[in-house]
Amino acid sequence: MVWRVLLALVLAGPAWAWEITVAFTTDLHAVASRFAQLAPLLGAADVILDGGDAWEDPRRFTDADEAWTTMRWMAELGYDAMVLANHETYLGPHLLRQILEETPFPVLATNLRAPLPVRAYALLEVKGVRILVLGVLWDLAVIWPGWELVDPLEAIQATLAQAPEHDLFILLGHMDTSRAVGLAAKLPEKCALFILGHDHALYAEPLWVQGVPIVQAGGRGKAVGWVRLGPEGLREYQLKLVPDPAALPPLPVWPIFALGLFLWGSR
Amino acid sequence: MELAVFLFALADLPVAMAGAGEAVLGPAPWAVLPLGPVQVFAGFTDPPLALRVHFLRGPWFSWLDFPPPRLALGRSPGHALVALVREGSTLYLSWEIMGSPWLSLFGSLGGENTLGLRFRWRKFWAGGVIRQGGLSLWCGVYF
Repeated sequence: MVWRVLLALVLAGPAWAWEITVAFTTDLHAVASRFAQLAPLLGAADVILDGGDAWEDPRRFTDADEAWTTMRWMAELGYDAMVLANHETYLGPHLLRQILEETPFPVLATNLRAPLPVRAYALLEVKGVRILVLGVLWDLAVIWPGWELVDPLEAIQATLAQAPEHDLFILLGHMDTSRAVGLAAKLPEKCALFILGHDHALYAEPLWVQGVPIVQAGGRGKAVGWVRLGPEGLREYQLKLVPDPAALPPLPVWPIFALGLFLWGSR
Repeated sequence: MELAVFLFALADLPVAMAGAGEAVLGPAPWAVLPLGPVQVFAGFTDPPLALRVHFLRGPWFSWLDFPPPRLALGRSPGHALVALVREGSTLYLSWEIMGSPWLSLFGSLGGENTLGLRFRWRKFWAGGVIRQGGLSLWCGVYF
């Protein structure tokens, strides 16, 4: 009997031995002034993910340069995947395509049919663990001509049916919380982690929905989410607040000046 | 401004800002052909041909239509598209609000005051425009 137990433990060893740390950001909104404070909080994780709305901020009239800067910072830091979100769509299809073509990590849009270099899923292999990552968006995206946004649940079901074998499933979602809760409750395969963006909410604790932990790390670089995952699921979740976050850059003057010029002399 | 030209110039911001191609059927059929940073308008209207040259292609959008010279400056401030369009000294505010992936409300203010509704399904759309007290119905396909 003792030998059988020992044998079972040895055979099960690789399954219970692993642990993956995941760090994530949500709704960065091209907040370059806080990148230096975010980097040390993210860099030590096995996997770095983003919940979307990273490359654009209409409140500050960010331009193409800030979108490029943010993407390149994410690439240098070693982000493993992000979900395309509504503010990425505000960049317009031409600029967005240009940035996506240069992005070295997968940008996920499981439920978007568009002529863009985005992916339905990413399969990451970390410490021998195969991590399947899907990313869906919904609220407030601009659907440009020729694009089609399909129901997130339908897209997830179709993608999971064709996805490669995996040990861990992480879902990135960019939508309001009520829609995310409904989605989590209906998932055909429970994910170990549901990283949610859009509401800019700081979740001190995961929001549990039928065994699915939904987490969110606020907006504009105020915090980083930190998670330890094992074969049994979520082991630990922390929200690491950025100490003394740098102030956001002031509103640029040139759009107001350009607007004045545009309006000058009109009747 | 003739009806088809109005639709091209002020009431089709998704196509204008995306620089996309489109064929439209309605009271005055017309089409837009995208050639890199240029869009070519052709229709049974006056003028029958027009060009649109794009200068900024996101997140600020700017383009010049001619003839006549008509300059636009746009942005997507949230799930809406907005552009200021200037033709001579006349100013227009063109807008489209995406209510959902399938439905949007659009219109213009200023030199033209109009309101329209557009239903979208994949690459197709159908809609109506109320302009100068009359309703016209249109449908189109993006390419």
